[in-house]
Amino acid sequence: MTEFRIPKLNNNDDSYILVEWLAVDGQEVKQGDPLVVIETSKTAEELESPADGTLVIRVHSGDCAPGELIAAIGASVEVAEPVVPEVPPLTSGEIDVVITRPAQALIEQHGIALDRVRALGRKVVRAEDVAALTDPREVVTLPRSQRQAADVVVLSHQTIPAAFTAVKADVTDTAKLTRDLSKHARTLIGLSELLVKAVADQRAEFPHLFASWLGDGRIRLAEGSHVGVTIDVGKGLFVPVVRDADVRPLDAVARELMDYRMTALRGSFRERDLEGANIAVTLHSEAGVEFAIPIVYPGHVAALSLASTQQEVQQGDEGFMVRQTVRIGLAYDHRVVNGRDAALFLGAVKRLLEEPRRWLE
Amino acid sequence: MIGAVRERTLTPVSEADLSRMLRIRHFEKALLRLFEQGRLNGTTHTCLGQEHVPVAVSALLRPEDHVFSNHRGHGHFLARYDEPHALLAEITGREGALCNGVGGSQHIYHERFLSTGVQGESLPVAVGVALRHKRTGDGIACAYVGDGTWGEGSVYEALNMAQLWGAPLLVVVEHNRIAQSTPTGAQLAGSIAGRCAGFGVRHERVESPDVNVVRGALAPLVDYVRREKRPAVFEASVHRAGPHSKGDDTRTAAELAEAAAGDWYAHYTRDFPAQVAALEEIERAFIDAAVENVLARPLSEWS
Amino acid sequence: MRVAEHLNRSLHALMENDPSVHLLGEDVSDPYGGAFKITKGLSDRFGPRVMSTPLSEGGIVGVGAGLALAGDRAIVEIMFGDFATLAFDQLVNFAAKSTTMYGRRVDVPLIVRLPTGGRRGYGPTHSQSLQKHFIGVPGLSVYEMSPFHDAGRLFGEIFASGTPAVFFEDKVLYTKPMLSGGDGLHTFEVRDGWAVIRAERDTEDVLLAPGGLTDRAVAALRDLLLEDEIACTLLVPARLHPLDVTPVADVLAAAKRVHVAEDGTAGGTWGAEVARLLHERLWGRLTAPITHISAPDSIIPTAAHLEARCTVQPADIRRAINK
Repeated sequence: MTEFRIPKLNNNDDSYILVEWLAVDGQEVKQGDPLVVIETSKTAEELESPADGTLVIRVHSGDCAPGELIAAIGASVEVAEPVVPEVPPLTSGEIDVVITRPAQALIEQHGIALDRVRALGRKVVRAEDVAALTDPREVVTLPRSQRQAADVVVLSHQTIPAAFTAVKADVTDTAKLTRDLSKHARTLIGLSELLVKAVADQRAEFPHLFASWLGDGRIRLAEGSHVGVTIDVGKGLFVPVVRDADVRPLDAVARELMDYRMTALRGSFRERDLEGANIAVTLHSEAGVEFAIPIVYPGHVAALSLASTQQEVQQGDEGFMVRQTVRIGLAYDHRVVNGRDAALFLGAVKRLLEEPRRWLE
Repeated sequence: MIGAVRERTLTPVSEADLSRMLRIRHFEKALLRLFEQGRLNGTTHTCLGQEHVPVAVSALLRPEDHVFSNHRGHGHFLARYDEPHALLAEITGREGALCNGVGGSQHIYHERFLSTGVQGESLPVAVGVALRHKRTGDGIACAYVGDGTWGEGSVYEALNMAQLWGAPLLVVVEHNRIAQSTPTGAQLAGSIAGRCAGFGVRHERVESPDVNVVRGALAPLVDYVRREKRPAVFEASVHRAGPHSKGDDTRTAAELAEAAAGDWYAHYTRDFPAQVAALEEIERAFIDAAVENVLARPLSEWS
Repeated sequence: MRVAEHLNRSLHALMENDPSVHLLGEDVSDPYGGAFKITKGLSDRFGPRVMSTPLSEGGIVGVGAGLALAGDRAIVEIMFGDFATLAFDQLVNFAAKSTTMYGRRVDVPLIVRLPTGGRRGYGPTHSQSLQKHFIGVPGLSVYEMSPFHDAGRLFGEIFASGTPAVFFEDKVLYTKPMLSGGDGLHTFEVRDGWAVIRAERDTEDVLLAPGGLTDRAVAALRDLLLEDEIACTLLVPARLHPLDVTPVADVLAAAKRVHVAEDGTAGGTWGAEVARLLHERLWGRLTAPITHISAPDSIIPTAAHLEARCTVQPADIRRAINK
């Protein structure tokens, strides 16, 4: 079989016109026989057969380009069988265990008995099902509350570009004062209670930290300071909400937190206890925790963390002394506020924690 | 002798026929008036000059017969159903409309009367209806078409099937010599009679402004369709005295004069001036009152 | 039982049970019994209620509409669905419009049956799938035969609705068996005009396709599951338009990716209309835009290898879903 392509006939044209064939399709031709008339922009030329054999015309007439295959000349014509995709027949039948091809490959590779595959109780057995049979390690499904927590955390990480800042507060004097405060209020008032109240009181000055992101560069401001507080007494993580903590007195806030702790022990939160927060305080009071980075809850702009109290030796005017300090962290939605706002906010909270006397008045 | 007594060319006309012809005439004239006043939505096709044909036809039809009408169908309807208020309400979209104002002038379905706006479309449908009549009784299907409709292939499909299957179908051709603006000579080769002959379909042609003559020519044909259960084509040569729809007449003054002279109205006012004058007064007043009544109604509603 | 035989038996039962049903079409009478033998035995049994007609597609659809209008029920067979274009006026401007254009409901119990589709080498004017041209015509329903649906029930449903319908029947499907139960891999469930074909509940991939695509869609589903480990549910509606997805809302609710396949050529298609409808309903729950699989924007050639290129094949469906 010899290919018959159009030679380059001049330098001007990038296409020619195939005017007519001088032999018919299927004709026996001899080398040198005139075969075809090609017209360039200047001339009409006859091209000769390059070989002996049967002419099979590919291009009958019209535009053609140098190098284009316009015919083949060979001893015999190739017979091509049409390729038509096969559609398997439709059938009705009973349903049995179905093993996918990747699964079948794994079964063979690991020599797994078919009984074990059937024992999976699946109608369709996939590669991952077979892989589980080859892996001795146990697979555990997390409890529902943790799966819900997982969803919240993932959503936060996917949707909120958070930044983080922490400050250190000196709570040496505060620690003594909380005892007086507790006695006075007839309920436990510790650093957690003070922090919740201190955060809530900042809304007038820092409204954006209590807002919620709407998209398109807009936020909705809060109508009250509703502070979610993490409570985990070993029965799962809950975040009950202290509503309107800015307008309620410290002892009322403290009493509600105490009620929530009791509720957490009973494990009987109601939906309304857990709804409507616009900022969160996360407590990490286990000894030795220096600082913690909270997640910003979806729909919030800010979350604070309170780490455990640390003993620290500091040089003062009267020589070295032991001080009690805590780290307060602030994770915030960087689309809404910047590091300066975060620092000012933390500074205000820190001052209140270090100077809690105002709540005695 | 003051002048030559002109010979009457028309046969005496019944009061009922003349009243109905005049009622249709004044209905159409009222529509043209309303159109000029901008009180009609869309367009309308009047049958001025052709009124006597449906009046002649309707007297030969029975209540069970179906009538299929076309775009120029007000006369077809009013000749069969004396309900000008309902038709006007349909055309003006008022309460009491035949089809709630949805169909308008060209799309009416009332009892056994149906019109559509696509040329020739209703002929095959009429064959279907006629086949049911053939099976269930002595009813027939009567379809009005114009000379222009004979350009549509559906006409020939229908004639072929009607003749093959013996469908009691009466096709009434109102041959008004013009299709919208194209003279028949410029759009129809051969003749309607010749075309019918090709299918073996019986054909009769009449050219008269006299309602009795038209009816007399048609009566045996209706009888044939009803009794023999075969199709037939009745071709009535008429003059379109008005425009195709409104303000779209391109005919010359001479052609318009010829159409006016051929108008049945001209013949009847000449032969029966007193009778026409007396009845015309009544019909004009009746239609004027109908227009006033219908236009005072609330708009039609369609759910 | 093959689909062709099922259709034939359904017509026999329909005409037996309802003497107002008439059937017209070219060459439908015995002994020929229609180009695809769907009307075999009907004229011998029901005499003048079955009429072989002249070659007048527009005319016979008009006659069918006339019968329907006058109180009968009519089925018109168009020998090849391609010729439905000749009856377009009667369908769109008369039969469909008449149901509403007279200001009140007018029943037109008319079914126009359209043998349709390629893969039989009949060439460009005898192989098309013209469903898309009848989508969105007020007063006209579009149905397509599937191997899952009882044709007799569909015919009864159409007549009872009083809305005229075009009823597409894939010509290759005629030779396939009617299906019920399952195929050893998938279960076949029929509910309210839909067939649900699936190997597992609540699959993330869902494919919608008319009945004529069943053989190729099921073949694609099989490969997707066995080779690619993708479980996909096939939904086959009997009525393509108007499309009511309520009966399969649960299947769609579980979907993360939806695919629509059809035999018509690309551009202004049924599948595009389905995608529009489903995007409105499923927006926000899907993880990808709805995939559309159709024949290319091309006439259908005659030669087998060329025709295969211009008709939807199982591999096309598998590839689109796998993407």
